Amino acid sequence: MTPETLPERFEKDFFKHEKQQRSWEDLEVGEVYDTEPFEVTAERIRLYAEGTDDLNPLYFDEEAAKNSQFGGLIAPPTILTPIVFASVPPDNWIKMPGAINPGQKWEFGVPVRPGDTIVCSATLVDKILKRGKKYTLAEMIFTNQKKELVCKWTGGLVLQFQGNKEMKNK
Amino acid sequence: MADKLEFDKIELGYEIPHQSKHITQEKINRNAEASLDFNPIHIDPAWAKKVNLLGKGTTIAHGIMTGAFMGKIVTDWAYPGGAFLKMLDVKFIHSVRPGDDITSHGRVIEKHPRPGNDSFVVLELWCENQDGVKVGVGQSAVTIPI
Repeated sequence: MTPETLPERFEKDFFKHEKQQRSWEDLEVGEVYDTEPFEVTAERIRLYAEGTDDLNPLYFDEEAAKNSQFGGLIAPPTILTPIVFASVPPDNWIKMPGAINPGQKWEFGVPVRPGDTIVCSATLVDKILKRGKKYTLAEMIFTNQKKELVCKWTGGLVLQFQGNKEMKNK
Repeated sequence: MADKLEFDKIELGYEIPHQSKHITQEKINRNAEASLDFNPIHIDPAWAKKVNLLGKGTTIAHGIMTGAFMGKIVTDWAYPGGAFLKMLDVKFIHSVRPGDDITSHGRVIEKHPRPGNDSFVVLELWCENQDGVKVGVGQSAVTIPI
């Protein structure tokens, strides 16, 4: 299998694009994000399984996976996380330094498999002010190269710093 | 191979096996590489101290790492039994920090009989730290084919 290629614009240093981040006030419900397709390699599956201490044989052992309900190797269900971080632009609020994760919901379709190319369609579906904090809520639809639904992911972040005067000194 | 899960034999209140994890900065860093989430809130202790994030001044673990641990107890039960993960919904209600020990639990709270292979159960999930404080709560649905 070919080695992983991250999109050219991918940047590990989240501070590099911090100044381009828009504040919570400037985000508009309904806006759609510019995402890039991501090919999921066996290497990424191994890295992710190790990173989450989830060494299920269905992710590595072809023989075990072939005889399972899946009929072949699959990726861990939350592999969608590196797919999102690879897919969205470096100045997306998902990468805002200091953003806090309040919770996420995944509704799964077919599993991700090694070699799949996953497309993530991401839309901001809500902004919420709650208990003095500013929340975003996105809906992300993931499909594979066969146009099968992989997952509907609904979730957002608490944007703690950027543009939040009342949070700045806390 | 483990025995196949049978929808009719699963009882409300059944607790799936729990699992514990010890959280270290090294583990958080490894998860950052794995998930491509390099937010400084997780991996930059000096910055976390400077901004005094959440008043504790330390990094916090990725919420999704806790979510993945909560999902893992479900898939470790469901996958060997021939079942499928249909949904995972988790809320992170207390931060997880380096040095914490967290334990994920799950219990069957609903059964949904459906025709064909579509019957599913719903589990409530919770994850506690070493002080018994809940750090994560949520639900998961597991489809159990005939």
